[in-house]
Amino acid sequence: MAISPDFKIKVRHFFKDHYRVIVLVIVIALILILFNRYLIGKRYTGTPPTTYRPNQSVLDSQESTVPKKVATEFEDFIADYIGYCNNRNYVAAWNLISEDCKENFFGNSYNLFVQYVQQKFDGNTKRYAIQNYSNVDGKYIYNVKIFDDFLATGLTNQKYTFQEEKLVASYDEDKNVVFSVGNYMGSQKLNYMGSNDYLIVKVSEVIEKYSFAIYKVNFVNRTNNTIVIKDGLSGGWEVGLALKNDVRYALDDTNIVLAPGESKTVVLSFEKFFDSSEAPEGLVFNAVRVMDNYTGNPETAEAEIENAIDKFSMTIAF
Amino acid sequence: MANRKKSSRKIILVAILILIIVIVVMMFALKGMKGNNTGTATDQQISELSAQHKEEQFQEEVKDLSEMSEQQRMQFYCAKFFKAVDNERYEDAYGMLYDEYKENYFPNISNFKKYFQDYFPSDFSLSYSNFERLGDIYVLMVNLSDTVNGSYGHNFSLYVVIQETALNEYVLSFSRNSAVGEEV
Repeated sequence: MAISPDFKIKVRHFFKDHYRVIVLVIVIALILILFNRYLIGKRYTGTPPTTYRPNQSVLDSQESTVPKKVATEFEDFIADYIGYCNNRNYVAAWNLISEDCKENFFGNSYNLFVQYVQQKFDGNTKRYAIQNYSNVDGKYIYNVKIFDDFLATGLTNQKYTFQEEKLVASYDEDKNVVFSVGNYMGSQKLNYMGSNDYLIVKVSEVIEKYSFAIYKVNFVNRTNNTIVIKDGLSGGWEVGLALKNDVRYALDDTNIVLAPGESKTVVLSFEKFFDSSEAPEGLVFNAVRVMDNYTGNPETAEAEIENAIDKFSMTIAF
Repeated sequence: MANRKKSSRKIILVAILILIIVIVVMMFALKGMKGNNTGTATDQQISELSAQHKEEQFQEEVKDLSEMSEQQRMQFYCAKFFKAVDNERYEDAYGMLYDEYKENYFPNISNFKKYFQDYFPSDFSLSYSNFERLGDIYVLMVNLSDTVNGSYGHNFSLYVVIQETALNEYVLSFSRNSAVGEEV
């Protein structure tokens, strides 16, 4: 089939007049072809769907989530903290925790902190897993599991065990996010007082761990007699933390016996979950005895109590 | 003037059509060259086809995995590993191991192959008795049964630890000595 010279000329003119457009179309077509080939060659894997929501509380009945800023900072903190502990860079790890935690949990003792870390990190590289547990009063409590690098060992010659502790992220006075370790939740200065003719009792501080509340209490004996607050010989419970529907007994074994005129400060621990909804209502000293004669001998205790100058129960209400 | 404009448009349309036809022909020609099976296949062509087949299989698995729960996915990965071992595709199975684990227990593939030949029954089936997540890793307790010798055979339990980075992308390790002695 012969092509007419007129058509040939028209085509030639067309290409001459529109070569820029033609080149552009070819370039676009080539880009599209190459992009298509790239997409075909690209391996699609997608994000695995999981039920793991590390920043969503598992305990709170209402859906409670850690704010994004706190969650991000906590994730960075825990990665750095575990990394430093793994690498035995204890100074760097110590510098990551809050001043409050350093002071009230470790008594500002770096050596105590090192001992604490070494006990958890027994020389093996550890991995960790975090899960927001509960969020109370601006404190974001995470449950952190610390375990050996099971992926590197496949659990060969190992038991499937891990350590757990609660770590807290919270804001300090300057609105910085700070972190505490070792189940330490925080501390609070208190100023509760109770007194009578025999005794002055002052509750000055509470240090809260996740499952314990530890109260600092000062007693002053105003008499010339011995006052027994706790010795385990009264025949009933002696010191308790009153909650709305319950009384938690003191866990400490130490006796509290005041000599005439003596002032003594003791710490009293009670089992109480930090995120429990039951607020403490007061400290109860249920078997205070003002004794004329006190030996501390279990065999003579009953007779001594019968001859006590006074016996009473005293509550320091919060 | 109007006629000239009309004619120009016509020519543009024709030119675009020609271009499209040329591009389509080029694409087909390229594909035809790549997939030409009429002659004797070279090693390169065979390996390309095999890689293509593997890739297709991978994508199919990804599709299936995207509809599975975490537990099902982990069991799938675990089964895939032991299936590779059972089918003596040791290289594939070795490639699934976590690097540090390899260094610790199987520094080369011949150790790995010998281990399975020495300590694993020739034919076995798997069942799962426990599954737990620990952050970004999963721990499975796997019961391995000797299907040929039944209760008289070498039956044991072992841990399998898996880390999944994306669908069908994972590394794993297992309690090496469980097959050697009853450690779990």
